[in-house]
Amino acid sequence: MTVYLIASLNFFIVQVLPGDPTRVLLPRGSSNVTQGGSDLRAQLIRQWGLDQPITTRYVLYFANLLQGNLGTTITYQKGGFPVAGVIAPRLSTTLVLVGLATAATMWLGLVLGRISGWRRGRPIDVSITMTTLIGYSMPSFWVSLMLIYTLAFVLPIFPPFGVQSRNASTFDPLTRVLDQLYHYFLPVVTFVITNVAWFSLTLRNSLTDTLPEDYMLTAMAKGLTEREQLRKHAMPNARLPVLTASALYFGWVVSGAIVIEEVFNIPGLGQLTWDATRVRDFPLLSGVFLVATLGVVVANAIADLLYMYLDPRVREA
Amino acid sequence: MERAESFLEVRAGAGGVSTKSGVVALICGLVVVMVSMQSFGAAAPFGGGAATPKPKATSADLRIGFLESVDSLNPFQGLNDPSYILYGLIYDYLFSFDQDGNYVPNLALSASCDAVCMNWTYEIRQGVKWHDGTDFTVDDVVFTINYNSQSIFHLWAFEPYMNRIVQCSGKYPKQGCGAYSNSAWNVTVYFDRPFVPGKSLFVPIIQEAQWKGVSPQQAQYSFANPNPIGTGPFVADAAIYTEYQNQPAEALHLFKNPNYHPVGNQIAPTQIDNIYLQQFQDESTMAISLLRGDIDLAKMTSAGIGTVIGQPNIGAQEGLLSTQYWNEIGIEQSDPGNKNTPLNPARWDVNVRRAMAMATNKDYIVSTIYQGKGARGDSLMSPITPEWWYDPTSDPGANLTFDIAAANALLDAAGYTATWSDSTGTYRAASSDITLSIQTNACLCPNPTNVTKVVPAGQHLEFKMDVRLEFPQEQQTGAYLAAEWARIGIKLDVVSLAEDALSAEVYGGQTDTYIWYWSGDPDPNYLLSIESGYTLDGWNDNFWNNRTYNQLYVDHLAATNRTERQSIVRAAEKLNYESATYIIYVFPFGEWAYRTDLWTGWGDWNAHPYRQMDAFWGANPLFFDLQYAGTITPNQPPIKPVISGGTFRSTFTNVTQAFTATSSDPESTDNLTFKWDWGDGNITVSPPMPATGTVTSSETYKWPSPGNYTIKVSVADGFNAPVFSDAIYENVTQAPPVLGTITGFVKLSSGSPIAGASVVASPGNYGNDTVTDGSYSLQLPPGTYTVAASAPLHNSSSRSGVIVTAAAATWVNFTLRFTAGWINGTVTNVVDGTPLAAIGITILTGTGTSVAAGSTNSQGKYNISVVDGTYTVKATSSAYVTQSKTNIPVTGGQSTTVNFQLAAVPTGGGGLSALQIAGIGIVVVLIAVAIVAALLIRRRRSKEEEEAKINLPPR
Repeated sequence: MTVYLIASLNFFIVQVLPGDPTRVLLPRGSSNVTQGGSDLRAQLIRQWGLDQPITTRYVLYFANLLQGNLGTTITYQKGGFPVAGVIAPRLSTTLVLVGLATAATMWLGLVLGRISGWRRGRPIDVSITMTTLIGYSMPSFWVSLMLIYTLAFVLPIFPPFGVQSRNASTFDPLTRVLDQLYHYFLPVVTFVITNVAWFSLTLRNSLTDTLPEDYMLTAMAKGLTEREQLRKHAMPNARLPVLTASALYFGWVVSGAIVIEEVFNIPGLGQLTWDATRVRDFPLLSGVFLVATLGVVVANAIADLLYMYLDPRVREA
Repeated sequence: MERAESFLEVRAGAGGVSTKSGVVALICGLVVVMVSMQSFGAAAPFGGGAATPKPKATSADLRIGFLESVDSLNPFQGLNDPSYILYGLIYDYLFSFDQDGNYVPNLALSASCDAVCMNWTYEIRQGVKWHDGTDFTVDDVVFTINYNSQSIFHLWAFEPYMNRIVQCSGKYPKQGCGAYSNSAWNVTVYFDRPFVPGKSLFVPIIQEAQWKGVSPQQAQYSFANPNPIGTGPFVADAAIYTEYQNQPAEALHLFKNPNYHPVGNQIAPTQIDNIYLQQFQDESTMAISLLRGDIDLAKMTSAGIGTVIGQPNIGAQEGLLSTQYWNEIGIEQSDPGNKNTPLNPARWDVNVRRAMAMATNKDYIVSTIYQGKGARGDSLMSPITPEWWYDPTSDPGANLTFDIAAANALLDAAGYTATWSDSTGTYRAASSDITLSIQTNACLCPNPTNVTKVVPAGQHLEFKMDVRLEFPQEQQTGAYLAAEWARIGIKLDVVSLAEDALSAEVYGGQTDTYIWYWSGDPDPNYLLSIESGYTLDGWNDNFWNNRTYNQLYVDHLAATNRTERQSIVRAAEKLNYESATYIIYVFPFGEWAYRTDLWTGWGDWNAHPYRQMDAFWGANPLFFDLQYAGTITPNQPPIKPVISGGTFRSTFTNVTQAFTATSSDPESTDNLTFKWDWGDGNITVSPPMPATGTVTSSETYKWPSPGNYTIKVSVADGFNAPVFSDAIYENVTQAPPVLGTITGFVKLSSGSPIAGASVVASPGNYGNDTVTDGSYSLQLPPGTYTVAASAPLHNSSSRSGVIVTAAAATWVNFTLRFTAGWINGTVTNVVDGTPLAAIGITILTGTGTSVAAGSTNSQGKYNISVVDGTYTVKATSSAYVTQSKTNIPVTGGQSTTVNFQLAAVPTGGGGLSALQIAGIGIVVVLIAVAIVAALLIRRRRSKEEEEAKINLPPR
C-alpha cells in the first residue's frame, strides 16, 4: 500500500512540476520560435503519449512500472537510455557507500552515545558531545575537502577521488574489493564525522531518560556492577529510539550523499539526482525518486522487524 | 516466578547482544557482497563495453582534468570545451592551425579558389587511414561536406561553415552543388556567393562508411556515436562509450594513432601513448589531484587557479583564449508576429538597449567580479586576433561607454519619463505610446522588411534576465547589473538556471535578456555569422536581423583583399556594438595548470595561443611537442628481419626479381614498416603492417644496369631505430643476347601455391622467389642446371640436369611439404575471461632451449611457427603469474592450439602498493584480534556473573 501510494505520488509530482519536458529536448540552435521546432515538439508529445489524458498515462505508468520499465532518459547524456539501466549501477554504488557509512556511523555513534549517556555531565560526556556536535555542524563538503587535503595530499595515503583504480579491471577479485574499500575510506570517514552525532546524541538522550527509571534503581540495589546495569537494563530500553532514528536517517543519508559524491567524484544516486534535476530529465528524476523513497520504506520495514525482535512488548502486541 | 524472571532477563540480555552483533555482521556481509558485486559489475556497468586492450603499463600518459563532462561522443551534438577537445583529437579537419594560428594542411594538402572564391578546390592527402584501418579517400570528404550542407535544416551543428554551400536539387554529388569530386584526390566545393575563408571549414571529416546509415536528423538528435572513427592523432578506446557513460568515475581513454601523418612543423610522432580525459565535479579535488600527480593538465577557473600556482612541479598559464571566448548580455529581438509573448516590447527599442549598455561598467565587472582575469569585452572578435578586433574606445563615432547620466538622458529623450515603484524601488515606464520601426526576423530572411512595434504607454522598464547556474561569475554579473541598471530606472529580474534550460528559454524566446557566451575559430566568418540573418534558422540566439549587417557579412566573405576585409569586419562589429543587442562585456582568460615533472615543452600559450589545450581545430601542436620526462620501459624493437632464399644470387639486367622478408615484434600492437634498400640508391617502403604474428613483406625489383648490389631490408616499429636484415648480394650482369627460361610452380601436394619460396639455379646462383600464385621464372643463359626450391616452414627440393635452351621455357614444378607447424591460442584472464594483450609467449625445446617467441595481440591471440617436434610453451607477463604447458606436439602444416588462462600477480595490481595491502591486512588482523578478545572478556564476565549470582533459597 505504501509503495503504491509512493508510486502514485511520484507520478503526480512529475505532472505538476513546472517546465515542459519537450522544451529541453530542443537544444541550442533548434529555433522553435517560428518553425521547425514546433513540428518536432508535436512529434515528441505524440511519441511520449503526452497528448493522452492523465488517467490513461497513470494506468500506463503502473503497467510499465510493474514490468520494471521506468521509461527512457530524455536529456541525460543526450537521452535514450533505459532509466532502470542508468539507475542500477548508481544505486549499487550509493548503497555500498551508504551501507559502509551507516554501519560505521552507527557503531561509533552507539559506542560514544553509551559512554556519554552513562557519564552524563562528566568531562568525557562534554567532550564527546562537543566533538560530535562540531562534526555535525560542519558542512560535509568542507570536511571532505579537509580530509582530501590532509590524507590524500599532505599525507598521500588515500586516493582523492573515484571508486576504483584506473587499472582495476586487471586486479584479482580480492584486490579489487580491497581497492574499492580503500577508495571508499575518505567518503565514509566524512559521513562518520558529520553524522555520528545523530546516533550518539539520540542514544545519550534516551539513556538519560532511562537511567532515572525505577528498574535501574532496582538493578543497582541488586548489586549489579555498573557494566551490568548498563548492558542488561539500560541499553535494551535506550536502544529502541535509536533504531527509529536510524530508519529515518536512511532517508537523509541518500540526499546527504549528493555533496560527498560530488566532491569525491563518486557516480552515485545523489549525483544522478542532481544531474537529472539540472537537465530536467523527468523520467530519470521520477525513477530516482521512486528508488530513493522505496529505500526509505524498506529501511523502515526492516526497522519495524528489528523492533519486534528487540522489544518484547511489540512482539506480544 | 523469580527464576522465570531471571531467565527472561538473561535471555533478553543475550538476545540484545546477539542481535546487535547479528546486525553488524549482516551489514558487514551485505557491504562486502555489494562491494564485490560492484567491483565485478564495474567492468561493464551498462551491460555493454567491449573488451579493451589494456594500456601498456609502461606508457607515457597525459591525463587531463576538466570541470565539465564530455557531453557527447557525437561531434554534431557536443557543445562544451571537453567535447570539442575530444573531437579535435579523434577527428581531422581539412586545415588545422600551427601554434600561431596560421593554416597548415591537414587532410587537405592545398586549397585554391576561382577568381571570386565561389568555388574551392581542395587537394586531399593520400595514404591516410581511418582508425579502423580502412583507407581515407576523397569520397569521405565529399560525403562529410554534403552530409552537413545538404541537410542544414536538420543538421545545423556546423551551420556557419556550411550554409553558404549550394543546395543540390535531386541526386548528389554532382557538379555545381555541394561537394563534388571528379578526380582521385581533388574535391570541389561550390558556394552560392564568394566565400573567402575556404580554409576555415572546421567540420570534422567523418567516415562515409560509418555515417551513411545515420540520417542527419539522427546525427543531430539521437545518434550517440559510441564508436567514434576518425583520422586524427588519437584513437578512441574500444570501450569509450562505457567510459563516457561512467563519467566521472571513469576517464575517457584515447590511444596514440601510430600511423598519424605529419601536420605543420611536426617533426616526430607524438610522445603521448595515451590521453585520459577525466571529469571532476569539484575544482578543489581536481587541484589536489594535480598536485598529487594524478592528472597532468587541468583546465581550471580563475577562482581556483590560485590554489596550485607556485606549488612545486606545477606550471600555470592564463590569457585570452584562442577560441575567442566572450560573455555577452544578449537582448532578445525575436518577433513572434501576432502571437502573444511574455517579453517586454521595450527590448526592441535601441535607446533602451543603448542605455543598458551605457549603464554597464565593464571595467568594474572585469576587475571586481572576474578579479582582473579577463579583458574588457566590446566586439564580436577578440583581441586575440588583433587583425579583426574592433575597439570602440579608439573610434570616436561609437560611444556606449559607462555613463549613468548619459544613459538617463537617453531614456528621458526616448520618452520613458513616467515612473512606477514596488518594494524594491522606483523605475521608469513609457509616458506615452512609443512607436518603433524594427527589421523583422520573422521572415528568417537576410533582407528583412520593417515592421512597426509599439511600446504602450505605461509599459514598465522591467526585464527578465537568465544567467547560467554553472557559472558563479555570470550570476554575480547579473546581480551587479540589477543594482546598476536600477540607477537608470530599469528593473532587472535575474533568474539562475542550468545551461540546458537557459538554452531552451533563449531559443524559445522566453526571456528578455540573458548572459551567455560564444566562441569560434579565428576567422571572422563564424562569429559574425551568428548575428546575421543567415543563421536565424539555427545558431542566431537573440534573433537580431539587420539588412546592413547582413550585407556587411556577405561583403566580408567576398573580400579577397585582407585590408578591405578588415574594414568590413570592423564595420559589422561596430554596427552590432551600436545596436546593443549584444552587450559583450568580457573576454575572460583561460586558466590552465599542469605538471612540469612528467611532461615538458608546454610552451608559452600567450605568445602562441593556438597551442592552448583548448585549440581544438585538429592536430594541436601542443600534443606533438610535449616531451615525456618520466622513465618508461622502452618499447621492444622488432625481430631482425630475414630475407628468404640464398645469400648470393645472380641475375641479368632488367629481369624482375621477387623478394620476401619476414619479421615480427614482441609488441603485437606495433606496426611494422619494411624498407627495402636495393643497393643502387633506390628504396621501396611497404605500408605499415600490424605485428600480429609473423609479418611478411614481398617486393619485386629489377636492376637496369649491371653491378654487384647489396640488398638489405630494415624493419621499423615507429618506436625504435630500424632493425636491418643480413645483406644478400645480387650479381647483376648484362643480359646476353639470348636467354632461356626456367619456369614453373612451387606448390603443396594439395595444390595450394607457396608464395615467397626461393628457387635457385646453379651453377651461377640465378635465383628468384615465387609470387602469390606460386609461380616463378628464372632467366639464364642456355646450359644445364641444378634447380632447387626452398621455403620457410617447408622442406627443400631440387632437380638436377635441367636443360635450358635459348629463347625457350623449361618447366620445372616443385612439390614441397611442411616441415613446420604452428602453435597458436588465446590467452585470457582466469577471472573474467577477458583476452590479455602483450603476453609474451616463448617456445622451448625439451631441453629448455628457446626456439621461438612472440606475444599476444589485442584479442589475446598468438600464432608462432616452429619445426616439427615436441615443445614447451610458456606465457609470461610482469602482471600475471607465468604459466607453462609441456609436451605440445607440432606436426608440419598443422596448428596446435594451446590456450592459457592467467591469474594476476596478487600484489602487482598497481592500485594498492604492497605496503598498503600490508596495512589493510594488519588492520583486519587487529580487528579480528579485538573481536576475539572482546568475546573472551565477555565470556569471562558472564562466568563471573554466574558465580557471583546469589541463589535465593527455594521457598
